[in-house]
Amino acid sequence: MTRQSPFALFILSTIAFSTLWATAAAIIADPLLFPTPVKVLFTLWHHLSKGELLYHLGITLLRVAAAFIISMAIGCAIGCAMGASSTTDRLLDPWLILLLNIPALVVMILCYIWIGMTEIAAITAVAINKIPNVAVVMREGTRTLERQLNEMASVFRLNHRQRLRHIILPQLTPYLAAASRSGIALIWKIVLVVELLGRSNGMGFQLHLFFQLFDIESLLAYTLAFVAVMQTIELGLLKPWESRINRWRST
Amino acid sequence: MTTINDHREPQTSITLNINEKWFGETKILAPIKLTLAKGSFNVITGPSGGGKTTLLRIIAGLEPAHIDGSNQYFQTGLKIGFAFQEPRLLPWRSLRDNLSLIGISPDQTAALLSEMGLTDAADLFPGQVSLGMARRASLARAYAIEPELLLLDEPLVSLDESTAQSLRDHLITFWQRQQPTVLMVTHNLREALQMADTIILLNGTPAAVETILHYKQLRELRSSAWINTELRKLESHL
Repeated sequence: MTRQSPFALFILSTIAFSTLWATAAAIIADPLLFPTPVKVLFTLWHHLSKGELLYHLGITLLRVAAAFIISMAIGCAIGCAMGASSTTDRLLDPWLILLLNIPALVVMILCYIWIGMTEIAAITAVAINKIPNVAVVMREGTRTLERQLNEMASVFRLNHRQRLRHIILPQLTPYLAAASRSGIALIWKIVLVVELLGRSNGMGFQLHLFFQLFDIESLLAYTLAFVAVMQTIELGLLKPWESRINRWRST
Repeated sequence: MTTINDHREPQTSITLNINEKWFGETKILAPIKLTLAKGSFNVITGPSGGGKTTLLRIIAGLEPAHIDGSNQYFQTGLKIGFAFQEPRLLPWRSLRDNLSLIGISPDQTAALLSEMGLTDAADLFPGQVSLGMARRASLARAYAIEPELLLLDEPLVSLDESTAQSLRDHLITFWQRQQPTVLMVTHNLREALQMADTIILLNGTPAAVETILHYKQLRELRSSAWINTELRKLESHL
C-alpha cells in the first residue's frame, strides 16, 4: 500500500501539471510562443526517432560525469586535508574564498581564452566551479569527525585502512552525499552554459540553436528529456544509495 | 620517567610511574606511582572530577603526561583493553561487526556474543539496543583481545542494579579465566569492595594516591555484613 502511494501521488501531480500547462496554452493561444504539452511530446518523439536527441543528451551527460568525477576527487582531497590540518586550512582558505566568489561565467571565458576552445577547457571550467563547493562540505565533515571513536580506534590498535573504512568513511558519507547531490545539480547547469559558449554539440549547443531559430517546441522537448534523465539518476541511483548507507540512522 | 617492568624477567607485577599531568595552567595529577600485582583486580576510587579517568586515559596512551620535563605519551608495551564510560560502539555496524572489527575470528565472536547473552541481538545496530546491551558489547570487545591490562572507566554506571550485578559477575568470571591485570574506576564503593583485591584512593588537588587498601577476603565470602563493615572503614578515609 505504502509503495503505491508515492507513485500514485507522482502520477496525480504530473496530471495536474499537464492540465495546468494545457490550460495556460489554451489561454495564451499562441502555439509558437507557448506550445501545448501534446505538441511538445510529439516534437520530443520526433527528435528521439531522428537519433540526435540521444546523441546530444549523451554528450552532455558524459561531460557532466567527467566534471563530476574530477571535482569530487579533487574537492574531497582538498576539503579533507583542510579539515584535518589547520595549517593547510589557513594556507588554502583565501584561494577557496576567491574561487567560490568568481562568477562561473568568468571562469568559463578565461578557460576558453587561456586553454583554447577545446573539450579540456570546457571540463576544466566546470570542475573549477564545483571544486570549492565540494571542498567546503568535506572540510566541514572532516572537522566534525568524532574524537571518541578515534580514541577507541587508538586503544584497540586499528590500522589506517580499518580506520578509513570503518570509522572515517561512514562519518563522511552524509557529507559526500550532500556534496554529490548539490554537485550534480550545479554541474549540469554549468555544463549547459559551457556548451552554449564554446562547444558544437551537447544540450547547451542545441538549446542555443533552438533559441536562434525560435523553435520553442524543440526547446521544451529537449528540456523535458533532460529533466527526465536527471530525475532518473536522482531517484534511481542517488536516493537508493543514500538510504542504504543511512539504514542505521533510522533505528 | 614512565616505566614498566622489563618483559625479560618473570613478571610478577606491573609498575606504572607517571609524573605530573597539567591541563593548561592547572595541575591535575601529582606524581603517581602504582605497582599492581600481575593478574590482580584493582579499583581506583575517589571524589568526582578527581582525575581518575584522566589517569586511566594516560595509562592507555590517550593523553600525554608530563614526563622528564616534556609532554609525552605513556607506552606500556602491554596489550590493553579499554572499556570507556560510553559504549563507543560504531553506530553503523552491527554488534557482531563491532566485535569482529578488532581482529577476532567469527567463531570467537560468536562464542563471546553467546557468553554475554547477545546472540539474539548480534545483528542489530547499537542504536537499536538498550544501554545495558551496548555496555555488554563494549565490555565483550575489551575482553575479546585478551588483554594483559584491562582498563575500565566506570563501566557499570547508570545501569539498573540487576543488570549491573550480572555484568559484575561476567567480569569476575572473565577475569578469573583470562587473568589480566585489571584497573577499574568506579564511584560505587560497594561494587569496589565486592570485586577488588586492592582499592586505590585518589584524592586531593592535584590528585595523588592517598591510600592503598588490600583485601584478602575471598570474593565468595564477601557477605553484605562484611561489605558494610569495610564500607564504613573506607568512608572514613574519604
